[in-house]
Formats: sequence, C-alpha cells, structure tokens
Amino acid sequence: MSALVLRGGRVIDPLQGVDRAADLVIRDGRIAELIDPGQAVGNLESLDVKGLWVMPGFIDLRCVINDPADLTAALAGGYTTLVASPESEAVPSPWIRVLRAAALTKHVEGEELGEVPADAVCLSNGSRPIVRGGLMRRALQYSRPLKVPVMIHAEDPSLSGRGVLGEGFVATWLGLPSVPASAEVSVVARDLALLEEQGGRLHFSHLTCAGSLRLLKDARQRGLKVTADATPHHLTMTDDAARGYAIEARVWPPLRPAADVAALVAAVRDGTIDAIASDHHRIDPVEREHPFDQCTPGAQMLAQAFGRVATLKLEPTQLARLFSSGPAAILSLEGGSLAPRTRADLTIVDPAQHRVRYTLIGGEVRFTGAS
Amino acid sequence: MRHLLAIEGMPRAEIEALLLRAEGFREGRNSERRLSGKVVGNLFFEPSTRTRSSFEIAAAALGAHVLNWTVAGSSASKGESLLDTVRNLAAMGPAVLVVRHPSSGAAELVARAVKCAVINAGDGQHEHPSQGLLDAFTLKRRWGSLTGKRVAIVGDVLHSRVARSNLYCLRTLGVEVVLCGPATLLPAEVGRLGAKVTTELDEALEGADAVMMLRVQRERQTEALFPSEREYHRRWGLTAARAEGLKSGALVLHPGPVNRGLELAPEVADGLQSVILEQVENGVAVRKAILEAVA
Repeated sequence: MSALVLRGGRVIDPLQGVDRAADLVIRDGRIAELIDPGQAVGNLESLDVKGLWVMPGFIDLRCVINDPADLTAALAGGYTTLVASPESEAVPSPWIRVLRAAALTKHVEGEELGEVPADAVCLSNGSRPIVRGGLMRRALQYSRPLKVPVMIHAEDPSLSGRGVLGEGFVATWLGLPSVPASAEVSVVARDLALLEEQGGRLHFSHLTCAGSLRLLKDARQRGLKVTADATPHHLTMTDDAARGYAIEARVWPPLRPAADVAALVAAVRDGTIDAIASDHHRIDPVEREHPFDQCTPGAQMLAQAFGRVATLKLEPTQLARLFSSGPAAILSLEGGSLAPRTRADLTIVDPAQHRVRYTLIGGEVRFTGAS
Repeated sequence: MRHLLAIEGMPRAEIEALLLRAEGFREGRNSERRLSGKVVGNLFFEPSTRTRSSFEIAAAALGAHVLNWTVAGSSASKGESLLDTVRNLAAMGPAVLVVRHPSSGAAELVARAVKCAVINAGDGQHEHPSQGLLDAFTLKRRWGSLTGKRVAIVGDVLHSRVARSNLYCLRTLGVEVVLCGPATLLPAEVGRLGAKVTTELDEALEGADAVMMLRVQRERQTEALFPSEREYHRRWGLTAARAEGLKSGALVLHPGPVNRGLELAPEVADGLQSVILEQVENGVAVRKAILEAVA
C-alpha cells in the first residue's frame, strides 16, 4: 500500500497533547509518525497542507442517512465515521465508516425495550422522546452491563405540544406555537435522577437550554457518567432566525432565544458539552413547501457543520475534541487520535476560510475541497 | 401597495389613506367598478363565513369575478404542498388571491410564490390585517380621531391574530392598548409588542374608551387552558354589570362570531354600546379599499 507525507501543516491531537507545526507520515493506511517540518523521509508522495490544520478524522454522533448524497455531504464535511440514527436507511458506503445506533425501543415507539444487536455502538430513540420514566429507568438498567451509552432526545411532549420554536418574544411576535425550556430541562432532570439511581451511561443529544446545561454541569461534578452534544445549528442560530418564517429555522429541537444560545456556546467552550453532532436530516424539498409549522423539521448539516462551528473561534484543540476525540470517547471507538498505528482517518481544514480542505480515510484522500 | 400581509410595519400614512378611501366607499361616493374584468380568488384553508363573504361582496361590488376555493383540511395531509396548490390557482390568472390559512406565515409564503397580489385574510396566530383596519375604521368613524384613546383587548390573546393586527394598527394611530386575559392565554413577553398587559379585567377596563372582546377559540384549544366556561365568563367575560361600569360612551367591539354568554353577555352584545354590526358593515367598505389598493 501507498505512503504519504503531509507537509507544512499544524498538527492537532488533544489526546496526545499535540498542537504544533509538524509533518505527518502515513504508511499502509495507518499513521506512521510525526516528524519535524521538512525532515527527510525518503522518496514519499507528499501533500502540501501549508497553512492548514491536520486533525483526527471527524466522527458524527447522530445523523439520518437515507441517500448516497448524505455520504457525499459527509465527506465534504470532513467526516470519516458516522453514527446513523435508527430512522436511517441502509446506504452502501464505500469509504466512510457508518455505525448504527440500535433502536432503544421497538420501532422507536417508546413503548418497549428494543433488541440490542451485538455491534451496537449506542442505543438511541432517534428524535423521539421516552415519555414514561419507568421505561427510561429500565433502559438504563438493562444497558448498564453492555457499556454502551443510551442517547436521549430530551423532550416532554406534554410540554412541547404543537410547538415549533423556543418560547420567547420571537415566537410570540411571529404567532408560532412555542416550546417552553421546561420541555427539555424537566426530562434532563428526570433522566439524571434515574442515572444516579441506576448507573449506566447516559448521553443527551442536541441540548439547547441553559437550564439543562446547569443540571449537566452539576451532575458531572457529582461524578455521574453523563455526556452531551450540541448541534452546529443550535450553536449558531437563535430563534430570531425564524424571522420571515425562514425555513432554515425549522429544526428539531426548536431554536431558542439568545440567552440559551449564549449558554450553549459557553458550555462548548468550557467543556460541559463533549461533542458536536450534526443532527443532519435531509428533507425532501416538497416537505418544505408548507407553512413553517407544517414543514418537516430538519437541517442538512453534514457538509456545513465545521464551517458553522468554526465561526465560534474556538481553539484548534477544542475543535478536534468536539469533532473527533470527544465523540470517539463517548462511543469507545478507536479513532479521535493521531497516535502512531491508528487508522489514518484525517480531516484537514483551512482555519482562515472555515472550510474542510481534505478528508482522508485509511490514508487515502477521499475528498478535496476548493482552496 | 403590492400585497396586504400584515399591519406591523405599515406606515401611518398608508393606513390613513386606506381608511380615507374606505370612508368614500362607506358613504357611497366611489361607485366605479375598478376591478371590472379581473378575477379575485378567495382561497380559504379554514372555515370562515363573514371574512370570506365580506371579501366576496366587496370584490363583486368592484366588478371583479370572484372564485371561491375552500380547502377542507390542510393540503399537506393530501401530499400536495401549499405552494403546489397556490401555483396551480395562480396559473389561472387571478389579479388578487385572498388567503386564509391556519398556519402563521402562510400568506407571506404564498406571496413569495405567485405574481399576483396577495391579501392575508388571517394566518394562524399571526395577523388578520383587514380586521385590524376595519376595527380602527369603526372607531375612527365614531370618534373622529384615535389619538390619545385607550383600548382594552380582552381574551384569548395567545391564539388571536385579531389581537396582533389590532394592536399594531391602533398603536400606529396613537392609541394606548391594554391586553388582558387568563395567564394561560397570554403568550410569553407579549408586552414587548407594545402594549400594557394584565390578567385583571377590571384593571384593563379602567378608563378604556373601547373594549374589544376576543372570541374564545374553542377549536384551537387542544387542551383546557382555563378551568371552565363559567369561570371564564365570571373573570374575563364582559357581563352586564361590567359593561355598566365602563366609562360613559365607551364602545364594545367583537370580531365575531360571538360565543354568547362566554366572552360577552348577550345583553351587552346587543346593547347600545355594541358596535359589532357596524364592524361587519364597515368590513365591506374597508375590504373594497384594500382590494382596490392591491389589484
């Protein structure tokens, strides 16, 4: 197999405490070594990555995949591993590693526990809530010996009702049915209480409310095994994006007022949030030709996730943690690191343009973006 | 005026010009058939008797040919998108589409998709601009000027597009507005729209020159937002006793249809202070002015 040296980049690997100018040598699809810039390594093919950041390959915790176009978008977004939500369809993937989240409940109906296949990396109920606390308690109990996280969409439907936008002035002004923060926060509180009682591993998907983040921080401080992710759209859009009934604001969970978004960004900066999940869900355009509240919610986020999050001006090690080592740790996956002998899944980004420039999977360049 | 989608953001001069034009129609001065040869399409995705009839009568009086499309249930449930429906109708060449839809923002969505003029005849919980204009028109005919007056809007503010359009219209014309209703029917931060807000009816009625009672939208209430109709009437209904306590000469409005004995006592609805039938009558004149302005 081939060998390749990446020349002139800034190599970032939070797991190894690396953030410096270095060249990176890849052999046989695996990372061979980090060398000083310009150091001779014999006659290897080289890729010029001057001015770019070389990071461990991006790993997405949650996306809905139902078309080859989703995988193309993922490659363009720098993703090398995806966890497909239970709503996904089987799409053959030539390069990207697609892992599947097992349905936490049968047919994600939230009624009975679902079967757990041997290769499950996590249990998830997709974007559907677990209404009954008793069932959630059993899910944590049952999954505890399996050592896989239970991924939760925290929502109390009796509070969210027909809502389509976070409660606040904008929803009132636009006359859109709204969702109070308690719809999320009360379920986070319930599930943390269950976790404390039962043990197990709990992961909250796409948190959006300041109240949830306060509870999460507190639970962490008390030593509970709980993790959480945030999406690029919830970090970069407030409820104000719905002005003019703009369809890109029709996402689920709903967008929230600025104070919640500020709290979410702060939680990403201080490490309370472990990972970015794209929550990518491509919606048939005809499903978006209805009025705002009748449109199917969703955001096509795989291709633009990094670009959006990069606008927050995070440290490069923070970005690598959020997009790669964080998700790898949650799923107990190999990856998320540039240590020698690990598979050469790499994402190389242009920090000035907020763009993904190269996606390498197993040492092969599978995506090249415009400079 | 290209479309009439919302009162919010309409300049005062534009509102006043419409009301002046409506006054001409009301007095029978403008009798030309300005819409002769044109087609006005009424596209109603929600049941409505008076708004639809009012637009139909106004359009016919201006010489337009009126087509009525009533779509029972949402088009979304039939697999056809709203825009599909509207593009098909627009292809028939109407000059104006009058759109009523249960979703906020629907009229704006339609306006972006078609070449003809669009009049919002009520979109979800957002706006009902022709109602806002006709209510302001009714008060103006009674009072001459609205400046410095105080109007209480009472009831289901949460689900009410009438409340929003009236608030914007009245404020632009110099009226102080108080919103009142059960706390469960007042949306979050509604005061930021530019009104005083209270849950106590007597406080809202204090010094009011007019009271606009909103219809309790039983059909929109997916769950009980107040304990009982009896309690609602007792706390937020305009009873005969409360009507008597109003400032002398104060007017009572209601966008209709009235739930008698719920938001409004029957004797108040039919009493001397009530201008409910004037509202209906004025609605036709105001809608003529709107149709003429956009067609």
